[in-house]
Amino acid sequence: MQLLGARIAEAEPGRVVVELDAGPQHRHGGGVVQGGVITQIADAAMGMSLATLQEDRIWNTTIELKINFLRPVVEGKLRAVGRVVEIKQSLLFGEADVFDSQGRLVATASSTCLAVPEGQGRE
Amino acid sequence: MSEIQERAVSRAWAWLGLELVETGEGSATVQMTAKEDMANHSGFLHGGMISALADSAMGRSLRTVKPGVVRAMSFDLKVNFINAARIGETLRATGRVVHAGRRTMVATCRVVGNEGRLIATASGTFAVTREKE
Repeated sequence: MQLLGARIAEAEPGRVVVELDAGPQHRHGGGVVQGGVITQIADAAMGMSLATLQEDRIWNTTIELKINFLRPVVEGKLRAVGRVVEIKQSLLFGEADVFDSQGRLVATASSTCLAVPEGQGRE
Repeated sequence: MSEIQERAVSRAWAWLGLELVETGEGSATVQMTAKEDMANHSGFLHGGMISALADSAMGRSLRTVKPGVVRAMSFDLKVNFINAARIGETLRATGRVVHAGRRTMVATCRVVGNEGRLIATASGTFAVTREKE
């Protein structure tokens, strides 16, 4: 998130918005923002929106993610809006839409996350 | 598209018992009742049946946009199975177009069961041939 320059713009229970000012450092050779960059903010928005409804000291990790890139982006503010679809005991389902600075839909993503206790899997 | 073609149901739709409930601008709702012979080993509705329903609802939703879609083929389908569906339960899948390009279209779908229980979510990418504007 930090390396990319992304930040949490909004957060409420079940919904988190991650923003990124896309510039030349985010583009690939084709001159448009690289898909991994868009995926990163979508993943972060989904993971964090799920975390808002989880118990304290329980985090989550993405185990599966799908994204559709709908239009290219060259620059400007990208907004990834993550929301909770459903939370089961250990599986969490999220979705995210990514919009460009003009509010056009750039990408849609969905993911499944696994609930993990804080600190686990970091050794 | 002629009215007859519009109404005609494919063999697969007939076999699965899929019914078109309603269409809107960029959306379509298709219904299916889980039959005994659609059960998996656990006695719940088989995921493949849910996938077929979601794919059909999304495919149908593509045909509600202008300029019209002459031909559509799924080339990507993703399904998240959220809750198990019981045999006898009636599922409603609502497909929604999220991107309508000249050559490809993207749709998402929510499948709900009795009492609005979320059964599955899906998304698909389709190769399309569209009418000239």
